[in-house]
Amino acid sequence: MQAQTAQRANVMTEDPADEALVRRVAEGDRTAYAMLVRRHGLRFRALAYRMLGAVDLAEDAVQDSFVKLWTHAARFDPEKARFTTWFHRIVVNRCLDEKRKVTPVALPEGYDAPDPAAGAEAELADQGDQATVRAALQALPDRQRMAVALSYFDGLSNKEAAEVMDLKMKAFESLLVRARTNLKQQLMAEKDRLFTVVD
Amino acid sequence: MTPGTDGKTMQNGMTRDAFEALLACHGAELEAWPAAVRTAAADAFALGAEGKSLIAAERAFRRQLESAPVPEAGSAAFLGCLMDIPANHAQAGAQNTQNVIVRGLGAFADLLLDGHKLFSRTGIAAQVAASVMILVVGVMIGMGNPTQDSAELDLSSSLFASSDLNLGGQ
Repeated sequence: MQAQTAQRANVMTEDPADEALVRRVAEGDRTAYAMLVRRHGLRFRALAYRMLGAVDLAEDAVQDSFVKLWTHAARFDPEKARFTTWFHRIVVNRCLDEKRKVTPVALPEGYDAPDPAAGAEAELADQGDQATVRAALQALPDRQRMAVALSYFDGLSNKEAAEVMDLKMKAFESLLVRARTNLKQQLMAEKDRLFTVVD
Repeated sequence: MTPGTDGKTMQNGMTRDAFEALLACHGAELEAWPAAVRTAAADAFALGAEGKSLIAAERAFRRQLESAPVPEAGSAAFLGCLMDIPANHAQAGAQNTQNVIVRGLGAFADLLLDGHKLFSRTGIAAQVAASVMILVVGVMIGMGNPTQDSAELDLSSSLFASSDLNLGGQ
């Protein structure tokens, strides 16, 4: 009896694997779902933010992804992929859908663009590198930005990131190298622009 | 160090571009690189002045990237919204129904394979229920597809129409 109680306590206190939690979610277990939210919610919010560049869009995308997790957890097959790879795919695809939806807003006729020199000094002082990095990231093509976000920010191994993007490892690595080259060029160009307007 | 044919520096067969590509793919911490490329890179570049300078530049680049944090404001409220999802969304019914059917069939198969269970009260009740269900389904199918009336069914009509035999004359 005591052994059974101790065993039950162990089960309650140990950290179940993500895959076991998803199986429980498929059976309607809300506690398991809450554990997955606490474990991964903010991580995927950050990833979506890097992809979309806006908190509200990122939160919508991740929220939709968690709705999918709750409603379709039974579709997850632990023999085909790890939970994080599967869920990364859901979030990344949702972000790509969002990027396709966002179309540039036409400026009203007679719109007078603000003089960049006016705010540049304050921008440099207030935001420094942050604005530069954000602008450089957003200027990357979608797939390159995704590669950088998964590998540099989200900390996935190249193998995992390649799986998420459904690419061969070599293809992913060359995408990452191209992204890095572009990013460096963007950062240099952005810095040059800021220094030019300040001068 | 010898200059490469494309004007780029080259050491032990590895160009500066190749080394930079490895830095881009695997980061500035050589210990984390795959063993094969780590050895080649260490032989070629990493231990020299140029290699060290490239590694330092990579570390600075990564630091610069990390200088743009994700806004944390609203994180708690966001987690709260995620927690509310089960209260506002039903799980896919088809999957649940499918699971119930699969579980039911599995239980019935277990019952058939286990002689003790098969002739227990539950087993006999399950067999009776299955027989009744089969009977009902059979009757329903039969009612849905009635056979043709015997008066309309003349099996011989096509037999003699195409035949040269004229039985009426005999």
